[in-house]
Amino acid sequence: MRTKPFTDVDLNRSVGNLLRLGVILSVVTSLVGFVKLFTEGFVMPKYKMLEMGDSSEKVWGSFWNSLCKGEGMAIIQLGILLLILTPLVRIIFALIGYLKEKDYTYVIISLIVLAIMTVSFLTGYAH
Amino acid sequence: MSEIIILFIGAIAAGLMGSLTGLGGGVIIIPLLTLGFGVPMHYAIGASLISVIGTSSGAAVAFVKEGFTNMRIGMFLEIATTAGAVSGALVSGFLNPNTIGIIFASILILTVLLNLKGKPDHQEELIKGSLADKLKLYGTFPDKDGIKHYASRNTIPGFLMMVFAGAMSGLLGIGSGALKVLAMDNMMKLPFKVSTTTSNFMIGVTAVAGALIYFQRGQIIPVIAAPVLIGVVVGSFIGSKTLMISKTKKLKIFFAIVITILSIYMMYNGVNKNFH
Repeated sequence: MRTKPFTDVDLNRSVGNLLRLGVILSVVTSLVGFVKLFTEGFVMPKYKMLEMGDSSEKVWGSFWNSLCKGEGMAIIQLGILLLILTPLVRIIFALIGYLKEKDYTYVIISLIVLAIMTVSFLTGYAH
Repeated sequence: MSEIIILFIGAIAAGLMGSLTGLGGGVIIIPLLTLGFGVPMHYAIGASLISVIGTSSGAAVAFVKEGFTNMRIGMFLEIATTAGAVSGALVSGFLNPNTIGIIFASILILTVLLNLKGKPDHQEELIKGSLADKLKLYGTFPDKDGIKHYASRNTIPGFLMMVFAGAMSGLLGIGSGALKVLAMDNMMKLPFKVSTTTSNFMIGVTAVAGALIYFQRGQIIPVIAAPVLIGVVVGSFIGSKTLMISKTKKLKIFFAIVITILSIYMMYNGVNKNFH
C-alpha cells in the first residue's frame, strides 16, 4: 500500500495514461475491423446510402447482432465506441481522485458532468 | 475500398492543416467531406466529432504531463460545454444541412478573426471570497523563473461563453477551441498556456456529449468515421511536430486567407442549397 496521500500529480498521471490507452485501443480495434471488412469483400456504396438505422433501437440492435457475428463493420463501430468511452472514464477517474482528496465541491461538479452525459445518452436513446 | 483510402488521406491533410492553423481538424474536415467528397452533412459532423475526441485525447496526454492543464477549471467548465453540446446536437437534428453550412461558415469567419487577434497573456491574483476562490479556479504552473501562481476572473461570463462554445461543438461537429480559448483568455483572464491546454482537454468530453446523440441517431457511419479519425489523429501528430517552424506571422496570414476563402465557399454553397 502507498502511504503517500493521493495528490493532483497522481491524478494527472493516471488520466494521461488512460487517455493514451483509450486512443490506442480504439485505433487498433478499428484497424482490425477494416481488415475483417476487407476480407468480407466490402464495397463502399454511395455515401447517402450508408445507414446505421433511423432509431436508436435499430442502431444498437444491428450493432449487437453484427458484433456477435464478428462482422467488420461492427468491430469498427466497437473501436469508435471505445474512443467515446475514454473521456467518460476520465471523468470517473477524476471523480475517484477528488473523493480520495476529500474535495467534495469537485466530487459534486464531476457528478454533474456525468449526469449531463447520462442525459445526452438518454435523449439520444429516445430519438 | 479505395474510397476509404481517399477519406484517410483527406483526413491526414485536414488534421495537418487543422493543427498548423491551430483551428483543429474539425474545421477543415467538414468542408472537405461535404463539399469535397459529397458526404451528407450529418454524417460529416458525426465523423468530425469522433476525430475531435481522438485528437483531444491524444494531445491531452502530453499537455497533462507538462502540468499546464488545470483539471479543476476544466471539470467546472465542462458542465457548461457538455450542456451546450447536448442542446447543439439536438438542435442539429432538426436543421437543414444548408442552414448548418451557413452557420458553419459564419463561425469559421469568427474563428479566423479571433485567431488573428493578438492574445494577451494574463496572470491574475486570486480575489479572496470570490466565486473563483470558492470553486478553486486557480493554480500554478512551472516556468523558467520558478512556479507561477494564477487565478480566474469573471467566472459567470466565462461559463456562459462556454455554453455557447459547447453548443457550436454539438451543432457543427467542431472542437470550438477558439471559442473556448476566448472565454478563458479574454473573459476569465487565465494564462495563455493554461487556457490552451485546458481547452484542448475539455474538447474531448464536449465532443462525447454531442457524439452520444449522433451515434444513436445512426449518423456516425463506421466506414466514414474511422478512416477520418485515424487520418486526423495522424495528421495532427505530424502537425504538432512541425508546429515550431510554422509559427511565423506570414504563415498565420496565409492560413487566415485560406480559411476565409473556405468559409465564403461554404456560405455560397449553403445559400445555393448544395449540401445534402
